[in-house]
Amino acid sequence: MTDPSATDPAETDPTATGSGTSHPAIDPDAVARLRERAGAPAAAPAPGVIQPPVATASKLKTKARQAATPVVARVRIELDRAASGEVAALRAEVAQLRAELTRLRAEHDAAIAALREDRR
Amino acid sequence: MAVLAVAATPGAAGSVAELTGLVGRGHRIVAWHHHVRPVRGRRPDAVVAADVAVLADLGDSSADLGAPVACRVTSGEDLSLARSWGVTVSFTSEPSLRPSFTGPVVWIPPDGIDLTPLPVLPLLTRARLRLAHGLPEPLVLAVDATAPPADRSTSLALASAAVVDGPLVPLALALGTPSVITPEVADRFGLEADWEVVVADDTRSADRLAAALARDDERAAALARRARRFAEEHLDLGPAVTDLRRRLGLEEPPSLIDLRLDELATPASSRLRNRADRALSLFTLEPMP
Repeated sequence: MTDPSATDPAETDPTATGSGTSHPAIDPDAVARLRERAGAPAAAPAPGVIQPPVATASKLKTKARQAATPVVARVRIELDRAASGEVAALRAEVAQLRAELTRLRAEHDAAIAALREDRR
Repeated sequence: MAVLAVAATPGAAGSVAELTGLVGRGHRIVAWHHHVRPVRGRRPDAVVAADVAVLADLGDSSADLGAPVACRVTSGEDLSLARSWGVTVSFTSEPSLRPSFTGPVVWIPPDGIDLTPLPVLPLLTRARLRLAHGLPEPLVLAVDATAPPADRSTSLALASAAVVDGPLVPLALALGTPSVITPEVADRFGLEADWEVVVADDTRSADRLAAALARDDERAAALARRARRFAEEHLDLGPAVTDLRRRLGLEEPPSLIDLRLDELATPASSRLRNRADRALSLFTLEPMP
């Protein structure tokens, strides 16, 4: 019986895609920005990764940002959720109006065509 | 967008105007003798002929025209002529022709109604709408066919029960309005008394029965439900229109998913249907509206 985890390339090969910051193509800052854009909470540093020393003000700023990120993300999600019902309702209304317009246009065109055929 | 031409001998076009509006939905509808015939070489994508006599104007046979033709027929003789000319499909509202249906003939229910833009209004919804609009409860109305179209449909949509004029019966049934009608109208539409509608012999008893019906929620709800079902089974133009559209090449045949959604009676503009359409559009080059 083989251990499935032993065959996982992400664990056996540190340069494989998906193995975190080890890949040369992955920029940690870019990952953080991407995470922020996606609304995901900031990830804790991986064990064993040595953090460079930072100044106190900068450290506080980073901590404040880290604390705010999930809150902002949560607010965004909540706002999206609150607006989604309204957006869906508006979309449905637009679809209904569009269908009604198509129906009326066909009705009028047919009436005009019938009149023209009768009056020729 | 395809071009659908209406062709008719003078005076006959009115009989197909409503149907053409439904068949040509989403396409361009033109008059054959006004738009197509005067321009040499101009050809429509499909034609609706109001009568057999006009087929001679379209050409000696369907091969001359080079476009599918749907032709209205009113007798067995018409049907034979249309077939010999080579029409793609014939359609009729003449009940006597029904037994002789062989080949491509589509039955158009007389007094039929397009149910697509008319979702049923259950009693609870009606009550809420009345409350929202500040209308009295219960609201018993006599709805006259001479009233403006918007008034008729609004009255039938909001009434707790209504005394309905003959020509408005299809609309009342489609909206699920608990209705009181005359015995003659019930006979004409094949409606069963106290099953789909209430039947009254005179105006005074009609008003009384409508008032009683408005007070009896359970009975009104049952009548409304059966009325809508009757409209769906006997008066809905939708299936006939879809058949004609497909035969004329104005609508694609249904996909497997559409067929399954039809089996489940999924409404046309429902969320589920829209999601399926959106998902399927990923596999086609057609832009979504």
